[in-house]
Amino acid sequence: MRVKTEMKGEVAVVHASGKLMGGPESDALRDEVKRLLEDGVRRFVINLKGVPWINSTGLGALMSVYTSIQREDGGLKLCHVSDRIQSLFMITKLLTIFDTHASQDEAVAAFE
Amino acid sequence: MAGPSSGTERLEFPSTCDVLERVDELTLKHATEAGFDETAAMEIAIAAIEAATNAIVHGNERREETLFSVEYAWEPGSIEITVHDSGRGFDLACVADPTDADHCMGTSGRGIFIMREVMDSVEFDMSGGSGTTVTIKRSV
Repeated sequence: MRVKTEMKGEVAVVHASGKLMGGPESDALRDEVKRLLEDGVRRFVINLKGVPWINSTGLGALMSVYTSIQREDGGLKLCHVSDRIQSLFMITKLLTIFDTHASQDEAVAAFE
Repeated sequence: MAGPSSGTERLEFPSTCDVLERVDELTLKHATEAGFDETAAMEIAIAAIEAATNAIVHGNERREETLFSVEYAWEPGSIEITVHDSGRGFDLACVADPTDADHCMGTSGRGIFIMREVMDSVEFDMSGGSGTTVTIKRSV
């Protein structure tokens, strides 16, 4: 899992790519969001364009990130969610938890 | 393109999440060979990945040198996938429903639920004292 962050105004867009299957490889995402929260960022978009699929432990990593952001009264949106990840959200009844958008611009604009 | 076929395949893998992509590829391949459409094959692969993840993470506790096995048996219209690890097993009664209000925000505990949602049957065998075997089946 590789992550790279760009700021779009007050919104941190975290580009994730590679495997999000729990364990050490998911730490990069959690660590990056933690660092940004410590820096005062409260609006997040995670761009999953480079993550074709995840498993339940990767889903747990996303839930962990989501709750960390919620705890600080922040907001999280996801974009470029693959059909397969959407299916996993649907199966686990998490579609209502994660606010997903087709494009990065749409996700960033949703904060306005 | 040839029609649905029958076959079996058994493989062993080291207990690392790096092998999940291979399990995914094999599952998609054999589910397609059994005649499942793209969506169904994807759901079966999601379930197989969860079974393999459980074997790696919970059963063999990520000890890479401890192998787990994945066995496929497919025929036109159905597939059976059996995953075996060397773990001590667990109490199925203690597995909470991750969609319950008390558990829905949890960061773990969704693997078995996912398997049960997308497969026709999910059976665990922890009786032999030699690890845990999960067998998942689905028909078209």
